[in-house]
Amino acid sequence: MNTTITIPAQTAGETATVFAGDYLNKLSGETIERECKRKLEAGAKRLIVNFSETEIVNSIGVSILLGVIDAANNAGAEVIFSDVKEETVELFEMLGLTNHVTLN
Amino acid sequence: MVDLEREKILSNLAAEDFIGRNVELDMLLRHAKADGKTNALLVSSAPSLGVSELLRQTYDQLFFEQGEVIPFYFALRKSDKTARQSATRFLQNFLQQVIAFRRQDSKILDAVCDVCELAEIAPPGDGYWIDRLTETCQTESRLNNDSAFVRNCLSAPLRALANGAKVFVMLDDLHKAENFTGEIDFIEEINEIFSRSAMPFVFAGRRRFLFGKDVNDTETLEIKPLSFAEAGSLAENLAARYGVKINEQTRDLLAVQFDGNPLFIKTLLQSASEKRFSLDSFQKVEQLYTDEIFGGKIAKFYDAVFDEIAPRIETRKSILSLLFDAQSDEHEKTHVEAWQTRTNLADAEFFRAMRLLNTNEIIGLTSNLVETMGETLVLNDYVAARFRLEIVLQNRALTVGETLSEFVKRAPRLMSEFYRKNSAIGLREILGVFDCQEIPVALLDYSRFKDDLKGAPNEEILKTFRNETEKIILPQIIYTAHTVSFYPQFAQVTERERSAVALGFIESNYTDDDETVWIAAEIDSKLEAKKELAEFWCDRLEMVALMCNFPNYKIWLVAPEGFSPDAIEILQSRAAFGSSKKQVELLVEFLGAKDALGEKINANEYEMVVPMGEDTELIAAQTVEEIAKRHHFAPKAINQIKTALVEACINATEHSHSPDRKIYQKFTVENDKIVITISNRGLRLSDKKAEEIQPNEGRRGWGLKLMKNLMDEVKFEQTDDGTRISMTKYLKK
Repeated sequence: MNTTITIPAQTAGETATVFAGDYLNKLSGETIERECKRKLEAGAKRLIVNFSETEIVNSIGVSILLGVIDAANNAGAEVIFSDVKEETVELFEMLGLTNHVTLN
Repeated sequence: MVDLEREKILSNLAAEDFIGRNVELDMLLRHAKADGKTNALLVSSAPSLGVSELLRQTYDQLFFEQGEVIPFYFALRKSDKTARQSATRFLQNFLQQVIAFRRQDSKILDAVCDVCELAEIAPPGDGYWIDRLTETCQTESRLNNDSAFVRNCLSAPLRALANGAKVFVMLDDLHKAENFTGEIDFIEEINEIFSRSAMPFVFAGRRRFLFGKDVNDTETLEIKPLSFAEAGSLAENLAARYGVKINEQTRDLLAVQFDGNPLFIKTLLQSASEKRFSLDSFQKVEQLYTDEIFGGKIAKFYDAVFDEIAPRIETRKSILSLLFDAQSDEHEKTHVEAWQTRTNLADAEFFRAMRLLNTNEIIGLTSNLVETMGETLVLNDYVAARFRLEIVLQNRALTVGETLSEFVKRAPRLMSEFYRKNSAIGLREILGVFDCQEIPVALLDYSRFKDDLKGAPNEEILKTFRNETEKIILPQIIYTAHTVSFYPQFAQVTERERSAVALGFIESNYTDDDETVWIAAEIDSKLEAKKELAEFWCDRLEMVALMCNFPNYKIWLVAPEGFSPDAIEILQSRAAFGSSKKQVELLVEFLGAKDALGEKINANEYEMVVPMGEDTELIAAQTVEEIAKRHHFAPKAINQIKTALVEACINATEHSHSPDRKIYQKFTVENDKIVITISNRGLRLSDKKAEEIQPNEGRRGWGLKLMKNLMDEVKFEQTDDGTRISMTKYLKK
């Protein structure tokens, strides 16, 4: 079993997009967090986390996403979660994540 | 939704151990909030099926919710000798429960306070009406005006309502009013008071007592024994709670032997716990059961019933003798006069005893006939034990030994009977839904089905049926029974559940000429049934018709794989129908009669063990997804189930310090739900130190919340060495 994963990411101007994998757990969450922090350090002002491939999310993964939101706020950047599946939206709402982030 | 972690106030069982009554509890909670069609709800049952516990659970839930409705539970007692005594207690209980609710302090319910003391601790908002109420009752009491006093006490909830306090009244054990002496008819009084009010209330008690009571505009709820699956779950839960070792075989034996009676299941497991006795073999179950019958808690339960019915020893002995004789008597019914002669009681005492025997379902009393309750195994065992010890004066050691030996031999037999019954297709129930429906001939006639439809997919078959022109009209069936009930000798031919007789009319023309009887039997044959077999069964069923004097009858045979061509000729020559099991399944579907067949055991149970870590929870999630898809759960529900399962696995992995690093998972699919059980060894949730379960800045520790939100029911259990989480999701139709 691989203990490292690669998260695709792309940057266009001040907008950076990070693509979450099919399972958002501790490992993939931490990888997303690291990638997002890198983008923020590189000057991104708009951070998009794309969930189009994400089928299942666990609570540890969600807690790490909150860390991403904090980091973006501190850097004065906006965070957008895009292409989130309906079931995942429900989960984010349950845990209060949607109060801190824009969904589209 | 019921909160499984609320504290016990009046209830005897923890909410999570209160199994198999979700629908009923939900109905009561809705009724409490005035969602019922009427304000009166009559809850009735046979003895000891848990009505009181259901009402107590309702009380606890409403108390826990602290909503607008104040729950009030009151049960009549044997020690209440008059309506006045009961009304006095009613008032005291009422005030105590209202004040406890208002003060959100259930400990007030444990205090011994009189009405005046209670009035002193009433919250200011209720003080005025409570003072007025106590003053009025004290005045009536001083004047010795019993009728006015009783009425005032019992009207207390109405006074509360008039002052803005909405109360949900649950009056339990009303059958005990039968013993009241004095002029005042308690039932009539409460009926008069509550049926005219707008407040929701419940009258509960024994079904044979409540049946026919004139309560205006009432909804009814009859509490049935637990189903096999529910009784098994209860046994499992209680065994875990009491630390009694059982296994799947003994769990099922408890469910079958006690016929879904929750009181007896609980009693036996409690006794096992007290005696530190394992119930992991049939022999051990029967050994403890024998102890229970010969002087244990079950015996004491029935002792109390018989003491109340017949306070004098001689009368008790006569009744026990009559009941014992009836067990071995083929004639199920005897005349009331025969009982009166044997008991030698005067009219008043005799009819009181007979009424109580009937209310307690020890006998069935119809017009002037007494019918014994042949299928109540525990009662029959108790009666036989007492008869041999007290009436025949047989040696105790010999009696106990012989009885135990008989019980040990009987246990596998009981299970065999249950398995057969469960695998029977339910001919009696199917015949019971015949009501002049027009159906394609091919649904009953195997020769037609075989030629055109055998092997075709269900959808195609049903489509063909809709376009079928050759049809028959089923009779209108008005009465069904197993064939052995009409003709007991038929028990030598087949098991009870595999043959039935249905009486009815052709096309609902109620004339002698239109009377018809269907006699049906399920027969065994691995291949298409042969001519000899068809002939044998036609002969036997014709014998039934002859012995029961049925002039117009129709024979219907069902064989698993249908009938061979020469067997079909035999059936045609006897004007009989022969069907395959597949046809019967389609017939049930065609008639929309699946509900009439009741619960069948469903073997949809899957088990897997995964190692902790390395995202193995995904393997479990994918497995449960496949299972849920197979059982037609909606995609959204499947995702919720998967997420909850993942959280349960993470919980097990993160917190247990498990020695074997394994997660044990069981997925059980029943008719309308999937139950997921996740177990692990290691630290239990209750063993954890407080700081270990503190959420980290509010961003961890969400697992339990998610599981509860995503699933319909979640239950946490501490096992001896670990934790077990059960989560249920219902199939929404």
